[in-house]
Amino acid sequence: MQLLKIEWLKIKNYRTFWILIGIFVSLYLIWNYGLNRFFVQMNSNSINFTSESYAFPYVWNTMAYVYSWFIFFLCMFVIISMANEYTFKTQRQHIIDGMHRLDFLHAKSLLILAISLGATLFYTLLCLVFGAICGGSGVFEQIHMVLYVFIYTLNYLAFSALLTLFVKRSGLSIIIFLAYLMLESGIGAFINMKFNTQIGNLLPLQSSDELLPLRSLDKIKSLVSQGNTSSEIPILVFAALSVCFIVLYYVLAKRKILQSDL
Amino acid sequence: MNQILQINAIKKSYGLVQALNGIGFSVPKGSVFGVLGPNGSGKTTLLGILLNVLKADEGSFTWEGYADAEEARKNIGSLLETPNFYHYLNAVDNLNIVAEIKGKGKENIEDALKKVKLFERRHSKFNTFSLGMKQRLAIASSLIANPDLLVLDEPTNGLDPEGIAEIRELIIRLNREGKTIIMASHLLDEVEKVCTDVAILKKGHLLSVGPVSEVLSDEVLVEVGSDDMTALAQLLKTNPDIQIKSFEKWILISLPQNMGIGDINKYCFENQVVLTHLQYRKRSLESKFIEITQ
Repeated sequence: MQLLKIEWLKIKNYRTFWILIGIFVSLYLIWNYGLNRFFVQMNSNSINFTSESYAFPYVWNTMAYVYSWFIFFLCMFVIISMANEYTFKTQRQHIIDGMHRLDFLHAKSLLILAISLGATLFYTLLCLVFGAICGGSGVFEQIHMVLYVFIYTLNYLAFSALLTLFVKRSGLSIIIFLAYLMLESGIGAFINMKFNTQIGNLLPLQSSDELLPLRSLDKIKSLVSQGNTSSEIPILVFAALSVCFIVLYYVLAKRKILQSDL
Repeated sequence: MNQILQINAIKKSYGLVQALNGIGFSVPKGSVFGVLGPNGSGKTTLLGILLNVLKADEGSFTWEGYADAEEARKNIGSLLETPNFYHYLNAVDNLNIVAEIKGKGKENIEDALKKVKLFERRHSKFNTFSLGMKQRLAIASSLIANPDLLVLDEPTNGLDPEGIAEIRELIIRLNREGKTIIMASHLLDEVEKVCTDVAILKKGHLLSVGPVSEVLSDEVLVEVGSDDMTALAQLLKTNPDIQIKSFEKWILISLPQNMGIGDINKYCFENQVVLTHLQYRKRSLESKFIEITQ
């Protein structure tokens, strides 16, 4: 708790933090509102497959998918917050002031955990609000999406933090992060196509992307490719794998922090 | 003697460069201990190891009287190389973070800021500070745990003459309050003015360690001259007590403890050499330092 307080003291007067959180919150809100209006209008034109997107229980899926578009702003904050410690050499100062090296890692881990929890909570509340407005039944049928959103966030944020731990500069880290995103989905898609499998979806970030698929697209897909579901990897595998990657990031970060000169 | 720090044979290399080559000494409690050496001698590397930001390849050290290294560092006020603070936070916010890490209350923050004369600027952001003010803030930060021991790496770096004098006074005052201070410096003059003990490093080797009065003791140096310099030189050479240091415009000699300036005058006159120039020259510490490190 004391570690989290230290992190809080660093960001509570940090404008960049509030701007990025603000962008995330408002964009997510605006896009969902806009999409919802759009679907309602389409619905009145009697195009059907998106009609239930914002009604229970599908609202959990739809809003989770939209969520994945804006995760980048949270990643950016984690990258900046981590890189700051190296730019300002404050991570060094923390150790000098008596912080244990592991506590530095734990403070950052707690910060990431807190942001993930906050963002997941925000997602949950918005889902309940939109769902309540748009109706539907089976409110908690897709409630496991809350857990998936949490794992997804944790995976992306922890990955950003680990990357920055090695790169140490915020600008460069953001560029590498974006390049990696593109590279990973490229490689994943290539493997999937080449071997006609889903193995390409097992890469670190993609494994979490699989947790938040676009359901309405799935419906169309399954209509198109009927019967060709032999190599479906169950979603729980992706969830478990994502957790494994998060643990792996922690282990790598721990090794890096304990062994290196600061 | 009561020690506060014991260092045993610490070695550290950066690739092929041997930064520290088996350094070992102990720091007496209540001293102002200077670590003196030219740039690149390994001072900061040594302090970095003591403060756990660098890992020693070999050797060990112990802070006496603390449960573990973290506990020791929480109770040591430290300033290593550059002042490290969040640029976007003001002085008070930055010190709050340090106080939180050290597990101390905020009650010392105001006092520390006043001590380094930054109290008026306490709500200014760190990135608006001048180099000297940043250095002062770092010194304030080292004081907020009210530590018994301070580790200061070139504390007067970047300060103007007035600031340098103030910080030196502060160090001496803190020492009188019973605090032990370990400070690295490449300024011999500073060590001589402030420190009670000194360790001299050069290229990772420990050249000398002990009380300042012993390590940096001055000999009596005298300039002599005569109309016949060759005769004078020859005469001086015949006396085994006198050491000739240099022979330029005047002859520079070093005298043994029991010989004064009058003795040398008398000695020359009795040997038919009349001195036309006879002057004490206090040996500059700078040249002593250069001699030790060469």
